[in-house]
Amino acid sequence: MDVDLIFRIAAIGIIVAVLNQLLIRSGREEQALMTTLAGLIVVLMMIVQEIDALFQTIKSVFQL
Amino acid sequence: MSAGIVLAIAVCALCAAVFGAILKRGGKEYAILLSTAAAVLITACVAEELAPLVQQITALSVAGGLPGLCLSVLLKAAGLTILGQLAVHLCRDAGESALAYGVELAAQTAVLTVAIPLFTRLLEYLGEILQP
Repeated sequence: MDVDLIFRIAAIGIIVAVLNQLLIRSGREEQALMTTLAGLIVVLMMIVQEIDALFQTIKSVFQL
Repeated sequence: MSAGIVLAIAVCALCAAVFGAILKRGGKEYAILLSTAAAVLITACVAEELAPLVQQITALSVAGGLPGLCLSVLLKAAGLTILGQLAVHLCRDAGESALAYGVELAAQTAVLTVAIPLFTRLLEYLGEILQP
């Protein structure tokens, strides 16, 4: 089990939240939104691989 | 499945819950993604542990003379239900019950589709028995 993934996602979330606050405080709302979106896409790309692995495992185990 | 794996899964889930609570302050979307990742990881781990169990059940059913169709339908229904329930609960956690209902409906339909050949055979047997 790849527990590192959970810590990585948590770290990305915290960093993006801090960046978001910083950018909003300095009056750059658009860039804050872009940062949030970029972080979301990065995390989604990480999760999609795990979801694919889960689907393949379940397919092979249960002969779907 | 050994006790160590259960402990690992429990610790993993606890870590994810704590981080999720922290992330909810920054933005709810990251908490949802984190819980999705943790749930997918745990389910994949359990599914890998399930593989030898399924093989043993298959061996037992072959030894017991159960027709191959029964076991394959049971296994497929179990797999579809596991995937469906995972997605349903993730959608509910994200606050999207309508999406959860859609996934639930899809999983139920898929299970029914898988089970139809078995049901047809049962009805054929019944017809043969009831024929005068």
